[in-house]
Amino acid sequence: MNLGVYRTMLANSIQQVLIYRTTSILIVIFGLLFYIIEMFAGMVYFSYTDNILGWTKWDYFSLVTTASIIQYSYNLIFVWGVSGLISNIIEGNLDYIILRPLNSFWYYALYKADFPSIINIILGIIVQSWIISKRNLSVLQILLYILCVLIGIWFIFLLNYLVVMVSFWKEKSEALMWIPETLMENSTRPASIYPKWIQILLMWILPALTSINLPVDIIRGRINVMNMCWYIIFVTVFTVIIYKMWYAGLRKYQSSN
Amino acid sequence: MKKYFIIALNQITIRLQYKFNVFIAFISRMVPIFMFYFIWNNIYNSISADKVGHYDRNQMLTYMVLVNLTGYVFTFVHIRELGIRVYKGKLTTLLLRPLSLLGESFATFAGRVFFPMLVYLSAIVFQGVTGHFKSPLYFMEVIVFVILCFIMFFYVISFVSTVAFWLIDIWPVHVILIGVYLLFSGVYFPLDLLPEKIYDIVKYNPFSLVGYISIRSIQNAFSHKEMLIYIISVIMWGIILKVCYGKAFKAGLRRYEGMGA
Repeated sequence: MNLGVYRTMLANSIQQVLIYRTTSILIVIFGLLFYIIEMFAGMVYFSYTDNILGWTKWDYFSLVTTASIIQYSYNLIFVWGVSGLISNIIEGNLDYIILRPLNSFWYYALYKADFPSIINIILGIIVQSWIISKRNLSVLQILLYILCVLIGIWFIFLLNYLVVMVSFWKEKSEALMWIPETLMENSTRPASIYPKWIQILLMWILPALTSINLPVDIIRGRINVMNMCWYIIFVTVFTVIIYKMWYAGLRKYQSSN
Repeated sequence: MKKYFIIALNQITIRLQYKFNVFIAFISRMVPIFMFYFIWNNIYNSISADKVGHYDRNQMLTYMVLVNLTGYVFTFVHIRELGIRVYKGKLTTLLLRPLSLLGESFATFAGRVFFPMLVYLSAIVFQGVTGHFKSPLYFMEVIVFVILCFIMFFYVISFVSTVAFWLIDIWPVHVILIGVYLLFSGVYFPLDLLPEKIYDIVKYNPFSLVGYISIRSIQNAFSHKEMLIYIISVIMWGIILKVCYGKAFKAGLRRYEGMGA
């Protein structure tokens, strides 16, 4: 897929924002609402203690803010493609995509951007920059933080895409959509609060906890290098698997349109 | 009455049909419960005092697990029904039929949450029979309160769902409502940890009644007088929301074009 096509798709998305203004405003509001709830809950938690297993109040706020940046960046770039897949498979709407002389994987993943999410991303970046500015961080730490945030966005996309692609094989499986959402929601907490078996599961088998915790661990200067290397290898292999799964799914797909 | 019963039964059958979906939804709801459990457990591990507010560790952890379980019964999924019908113009078919739209909607909602509601009520009845509650009268008050909460919650959903006549897509409202529910129902922390003045106002909101107050009532936290006040609050909310629904629905119908958007 080339840049020109993507630019057209972005232009379409902007038009959609302008047409559905109320919906767009609501998307911004709910993003802010969830962020405020998380921060508010953090304030309540830390009004009783200064430190939860080595996490200070500002570490916790940094974690919540990083999760918000990652989640809304995923929404900005990918969420429309992912969320529409289940119904498009059932209703046979993929025909129009397969017929196009484009890479269907990328076309489908990127075909619409969710521009209202930008507001929440900007807010997150401002808050996080402020939190970071209060610490004495090296340039390398900041660059690594940004890199890990980007990998985190990609990881969430892969996880969501994996789940919705199950619809190629299993009908009426919308509830699966809850799994990545729940998984990411739970990863917005310090990894150390969980029992060892959950940490092993969500850091080494399916590194959802790593995807949100790692950027903040970099800021806190507490990186587990082994886990970071494993995470990068995992995401690379996961990318190849998802790409192949898409085409396996398309072969399975039967148009009912 | 029979037709509404059939509608509810139909929804129950759908739940039984798509067992995989129901199972996954169950699992995904269980996970956040663990999260809140672990976070509060670690807060207790990190403080020197035994109590947070009025809660010792056991009370808090029981509260967190139960309040999160209420999400099975008080679910907002039904809020999209009207929106889909308005958007696709299918509301016309229903308007032509000789049935009450609110009745049909209630039957669908009741059928949808039949199993979680059955488990919820059975658990309360079991606790009552085994002598958990401080008196038989209190037990009855809890049962009445929970059933009224269920009806009031349906009116919350019905009222909010009428925005479908004005909005092209209902899902952002659904998500906002989940957010408001999380904030005001006491899912993250018990509401009485808030400053007293805020708590005194917040505790009467519909989400607090179905979440925080319901669970605290099950934990024997209130007096008979308080329970009576909460029962009256639920009834008043129910009446207000029903009236609002009626007015919003009438206004919405005037906007409704009768065909797919």
